[in-house]
Amino acid sequence: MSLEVREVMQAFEGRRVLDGVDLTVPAGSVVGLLGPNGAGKTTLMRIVFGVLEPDAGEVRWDGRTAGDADRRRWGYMPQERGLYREMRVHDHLVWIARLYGVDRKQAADYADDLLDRLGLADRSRDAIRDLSGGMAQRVQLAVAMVHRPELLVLDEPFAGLDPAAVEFLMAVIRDHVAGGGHLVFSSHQLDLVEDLCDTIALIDGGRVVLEGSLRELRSASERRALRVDVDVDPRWLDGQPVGDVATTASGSRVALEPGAEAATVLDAIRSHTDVSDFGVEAPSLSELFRAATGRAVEDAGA
Amino acid sequence: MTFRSTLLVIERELREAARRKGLWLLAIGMFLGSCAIVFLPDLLADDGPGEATVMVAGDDEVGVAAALGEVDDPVIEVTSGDDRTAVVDAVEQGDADLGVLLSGASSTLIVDDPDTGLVDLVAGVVAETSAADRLDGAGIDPAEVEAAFAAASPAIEPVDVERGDREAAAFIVMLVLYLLTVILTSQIASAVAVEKSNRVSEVLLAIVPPRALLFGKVIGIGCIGVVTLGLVAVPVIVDLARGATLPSGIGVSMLASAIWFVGGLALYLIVAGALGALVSRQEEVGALVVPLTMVLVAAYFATISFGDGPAGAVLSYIPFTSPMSVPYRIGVGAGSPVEYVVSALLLVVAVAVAARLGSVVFRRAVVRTGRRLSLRDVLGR
Repeated sequence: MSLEVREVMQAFEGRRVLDGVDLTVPAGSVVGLLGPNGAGKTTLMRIVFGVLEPDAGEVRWDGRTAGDADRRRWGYMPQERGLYREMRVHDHLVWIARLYGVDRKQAADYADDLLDRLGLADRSRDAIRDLSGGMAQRVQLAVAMVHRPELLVLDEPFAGLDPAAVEFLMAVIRDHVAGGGHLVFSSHQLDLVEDLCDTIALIDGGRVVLEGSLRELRSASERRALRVDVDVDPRWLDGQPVGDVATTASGSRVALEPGAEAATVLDAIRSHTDVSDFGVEAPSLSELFRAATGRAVEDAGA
Repeated sequence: MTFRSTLLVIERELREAARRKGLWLLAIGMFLGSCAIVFLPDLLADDGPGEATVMVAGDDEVGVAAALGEVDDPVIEVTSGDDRTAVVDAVEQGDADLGVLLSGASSTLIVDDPDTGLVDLVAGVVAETSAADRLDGAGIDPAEVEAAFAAASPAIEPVDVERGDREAAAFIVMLVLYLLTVILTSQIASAVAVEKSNRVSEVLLAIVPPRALLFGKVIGIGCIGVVTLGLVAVPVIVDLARGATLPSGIGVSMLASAIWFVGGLALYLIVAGALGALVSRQEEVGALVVPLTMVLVAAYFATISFGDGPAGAVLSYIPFTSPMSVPYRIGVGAGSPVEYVVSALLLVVAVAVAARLGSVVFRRAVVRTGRRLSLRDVLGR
């Protein structure tokens, strides 16, 4: 069973937001829908869930056009809030599960179980507005998965989370996928989610500009970067086949031009200073994005 | 699934409403208000025959004291005083409500306030008693005279005394309907706006048809209105069960109110719910609902001012104003059955049209966030 998005087009007031998007989400996989703000990620998710009717194209599930009954087996967590703040946690979960077609008793069991797993069991009688931001976010995740969906779609789930919360969320996601579930999440923080998804779809300007297994995309790219643990002065590399030099607290990352010999560049650096640790690395997600679009993710959003 | 979803939306509305203190206060306030209006006049006005004390002084040869003792409403306690001073003192001190001084053929009433029913009553008794005594002395049977007077007295027939009562009752019924409709209209608009702004609607629209979302809310919040109206009616029904007679017309008026209230509430709630989907932030709801409530306010005041005239009849044919004017016109008996039937039909048609249009506006508007939309934005395409 898989989710497929085919040739989806969507325009708002004459502005094209999605321009023929294709996407496939196989079972047991985590797909990252990545791109700058305004790329059309949220619009695509709304279309997947039938909240918006696309101008053209279709959403398919299990090989045929997805209908309401199929969508009841999916769960959606929108980017912001998406909860009745005055409702009690347990009531909210049960109500949502029943809307998905789960009967009342089963819904209560699912809710208890999920709240237990999310560490919210002792807050189940509290109104959501009385919870901290982090807890409310977990309830939001719970709302998306209380009916035990096969496909889970999370819009910017990592935005604003602290590292512990990211870790926690990742564990939940891995559980879901390990059980044969499908998972799609979106993010505009490309480097943050680099280790989380096995398949990515880079989206920009309403088009999927790069799609596939992250590992394959990286090794297929001719771009490499030389990482060294010293601060590199770009002038040392005059005449060398290199691109930008990025300096961080832990050292420098020198983009190599296709076909460049990493050893030669390393020697040029070593003639100025001692290098104790170095490596040749495949491109990062933001470097892949830049290669595909010709601009940086940070510049693309505006 | 639409039906099941709608039921679930209604269930949630009611359950959450039951948790809101403000709503309970509103319902209890209206219930108590209704109790006060129905039962207080009873308690205050009709507490059985009153009591009065009358002091009699002087030579009571004709038996004035005895005649006063026979009066049963108010029950008069007759005391006797020594002289004029004692009577004046007693009246001044409040020991007696009234004093009677008798001396031979003449008599004087000592009073605090000459314009009370008690003064008229006692003066009548005194005059009657002494007149009877004199007629008796002249050889005429006082009973014959009394019969002659009674036959000559004109019968008193009040002209539509109930009119005032009926108008007052109709005003009160209208006020209750008006308050409930205004409160619930604002409530549904802001509830929809909140759902849209905090993206609950997004989660829900993935599983619930927009129709179910809008109409579930309308029905749920409408039920709150009907229950509150029911609470307001309880004291009236209890009063009726105890055998009270209402000002004629109020019973029919209340029944009509129920019909037009439900229709009007449905109309206003659907429109307000659809309008609520146009805004992106809750703060913008007020500006959107005001025109709607203004119509209601205008209808209310227009009905109060000239609801029983021809202009009131016009209001009965406009679905947005008929929920105010028709209950009033039925209450005071100003309209005709034809008018009411046509009005009801127009209201039903208006609700049906609003339901169709409202669900289109809601469906298109609720997913478009970012800025406040105009009706043209959503209906234009």
